[in-house]
Amino acid sequence: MTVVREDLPAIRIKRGPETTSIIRGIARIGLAIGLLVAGFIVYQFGVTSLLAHRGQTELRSQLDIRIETGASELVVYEPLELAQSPIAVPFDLPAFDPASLPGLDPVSLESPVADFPGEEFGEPVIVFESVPVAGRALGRIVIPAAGVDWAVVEGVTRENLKSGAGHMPETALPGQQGNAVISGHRSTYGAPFLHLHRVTIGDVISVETATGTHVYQVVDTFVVEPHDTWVTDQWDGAWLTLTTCEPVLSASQRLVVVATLVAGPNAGTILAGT
Amino acid sequence: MIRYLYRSLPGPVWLRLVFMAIMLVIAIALLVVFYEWVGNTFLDSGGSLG
Repeated sequence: MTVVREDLPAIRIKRGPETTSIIRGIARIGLAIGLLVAGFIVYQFGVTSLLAHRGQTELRSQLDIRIETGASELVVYEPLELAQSPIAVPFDLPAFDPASLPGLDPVSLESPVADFPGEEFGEPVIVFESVPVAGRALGRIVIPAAGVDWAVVEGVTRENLKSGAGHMPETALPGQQGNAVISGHRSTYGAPFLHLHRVTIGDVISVETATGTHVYQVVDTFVVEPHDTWVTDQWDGAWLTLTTCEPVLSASQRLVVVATLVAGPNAGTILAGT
Repeated sequence: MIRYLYRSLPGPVWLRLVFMAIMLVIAIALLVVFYEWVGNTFLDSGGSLG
């Protein structure tokens, strides 16, 4: 309860004009900083996500055209002289179960050699596609364990990665010999690889391209520094390496997921040759 | 500050409004460039290596 003493004179704090203007100035600076930070948050997690989803729509229509027009061909398989992978395949890797990929069309896993009944191929063949122009659609990556279903763009520049996960140029294409490297955002631009840490050894990853659906199984996950480019080296066999920022909301390190080809149009030929 | 800037501009009202609109567009563009740089450098570079 407040007691008002009428015998005491009312005290009023008098501020000089300088004090008032200083307080007003501080308030304005605080407001400006607040607006700047709020704008940053809205841009990074709202605007970039919208841009990514718009890019995905465009990439998916490009991919449909690429697959429909059959941008692939049969070529004679020639094993490449590549280094041994430093990543070992676990001996207890579970066998690939097609049921682990919902909606998978079994026909897309078959070699197109089956399309030529009665024709004899003297040498082993694989289905091959040309590398798309940077910024154009290459394929679609699906990782059930991480909730990933994104169109993949060719290239990993800032501009390329604004529309989805990107295939690193100069690395193998998915389903081909070598190491196909795909990178993606973890926090911004729709965060295609936000839940990549949920992937464990044995999980399946499918990459659909103009050559068919290539299924990989995860053999290792680890964290490296951003300059550890050895994970993008080309290795004997058929590998898929996914990279993203680690941890979430920081670009200080990279989370790496390495998988090996287990099924697809070229799996039989490439794996028989290793 | 915006009011002060507007008053300090020369010419009739319509010209001042045009100047203000141009400055607003430039300010937003600079802000987006700044946000992009901060986001790519510290928050999420896209996961590529090298």
